[in-house]
Amino acid sequence: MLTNIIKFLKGYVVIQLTGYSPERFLNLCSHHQIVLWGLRSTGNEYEMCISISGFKKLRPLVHKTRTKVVILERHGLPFVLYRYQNRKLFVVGALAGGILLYVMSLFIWNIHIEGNYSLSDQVILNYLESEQIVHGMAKSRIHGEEIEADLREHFTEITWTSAEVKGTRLIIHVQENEDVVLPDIPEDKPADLVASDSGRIVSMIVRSGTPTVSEGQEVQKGDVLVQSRVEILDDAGEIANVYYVHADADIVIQRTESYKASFPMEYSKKIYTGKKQTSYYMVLGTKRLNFQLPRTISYENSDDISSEYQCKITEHFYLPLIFGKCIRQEYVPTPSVYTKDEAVTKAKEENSVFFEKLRIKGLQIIENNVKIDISGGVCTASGSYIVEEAAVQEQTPEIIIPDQTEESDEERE
Amino acid sequence: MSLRERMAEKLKLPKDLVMGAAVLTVTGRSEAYVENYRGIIEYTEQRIRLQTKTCQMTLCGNHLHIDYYTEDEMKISGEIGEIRYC
Repeated sequence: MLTNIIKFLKGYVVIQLTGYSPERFLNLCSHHQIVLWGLRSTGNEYEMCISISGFKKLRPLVHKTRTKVVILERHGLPFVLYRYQNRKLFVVGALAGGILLYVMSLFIWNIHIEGNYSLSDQVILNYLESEQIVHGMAKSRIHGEEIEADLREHFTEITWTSAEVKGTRLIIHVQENEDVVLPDIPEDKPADLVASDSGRIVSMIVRSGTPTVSEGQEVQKGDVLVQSRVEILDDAGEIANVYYVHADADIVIQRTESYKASFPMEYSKKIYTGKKQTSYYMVLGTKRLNFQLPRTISYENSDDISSEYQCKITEHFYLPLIFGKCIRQEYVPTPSVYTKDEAVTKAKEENSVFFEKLRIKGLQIIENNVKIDISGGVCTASGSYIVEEAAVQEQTPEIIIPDQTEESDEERE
Repeated sequence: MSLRERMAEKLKLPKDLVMGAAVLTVTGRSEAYVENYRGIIEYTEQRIRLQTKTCQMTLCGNHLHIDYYTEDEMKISGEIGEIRYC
């Protein structure tokens, strides 16, 4: 293999030898350190391979042995270069291509994020951008450990990260803590639990701290539910010692809220005429280019529906080039009135959307007493509903806590 | 036994160096390496005759090719029929 490469680089020729004493020619070659290979005799003729430098030394030997040498084939790089010497631009192009490929491989062209659930790719990418980690940055400027530390520091949900450069891709592996409860007060500091809404306590499970209320009791917003102060009483019923803990409890508070929503029975209905126009546009950076048909009619009332496609290289590397299609549909606004059924359905829909929003927030709807009434050209939905919610928040206790160290000092004294 | 041969035997020196003897390595019947030869006397497809320091060596066969050929070593390939010294 290696000898083949060397042969190719130095170049060689296949020659045909004829004449009176070819053996003498071969012996002279070996005496002059001219290497021959691939010898074959075909009747009176001999074929062999010889290097270009060896071939240049042949003339006196050929003369001495009265043989005749004919070149049959030429092989190797020197001949290729000779053939392409008038095509300099081709060589320049090939070299430039190689250099371009190398230079391009020095940059990051794709940032890929893996393992994220609650944090979207865009959120992480935006943060990375603020840290100057962007598409097209030099690979040498990436310090994996720094990125990992920054990500962990900035996003508390992230429990583990790993930044890896693979080719021209930066791959960020992320592992998130799935149920993140962000406490306002650190776990090791004392904290009271107070009601964040008024209502009646339905259930109460206290894990640490002293409960100040009981199940079934009405509380107001801001009332302390679980105290951080824990008293230790001696046999005489006097306070022997006081501890402050980080209160922790599951408390469900039930409350009644009222709901009221209304809309007029008269409305303006869009009736589409079926006429539409399609136009195309292109956005390059901040410039917008419209490609419209020359005979465009402007409608008095119309809806525009646009769909856009942004060009991108790889997964997240968007180019400032957008292609868009815009469909303009004409409509005629017509005054209409809801029928009774339509109005009830609409009101019910609005109501269920409202409750769905509450449910997403973590509220549990226990009772729904909303009634729908149509009178005087207005549809009104009103009534009360009962919800249950863990309406509890942490608060730093008002009492100043004596330092543990001071206490221990006193004990020593 | 000549003096050189005896010396080589006693001193355990390689004989090809001391006596200029040709070394022939044959692999199967298709390949042969020859070292320490003087030159080629005859080369055809059927016969390769080589001159060594002490004698002539003849390889007979069919389709005999010389794969490479330098001052101290050569490789012969083909169908070797007989090897003869004279």
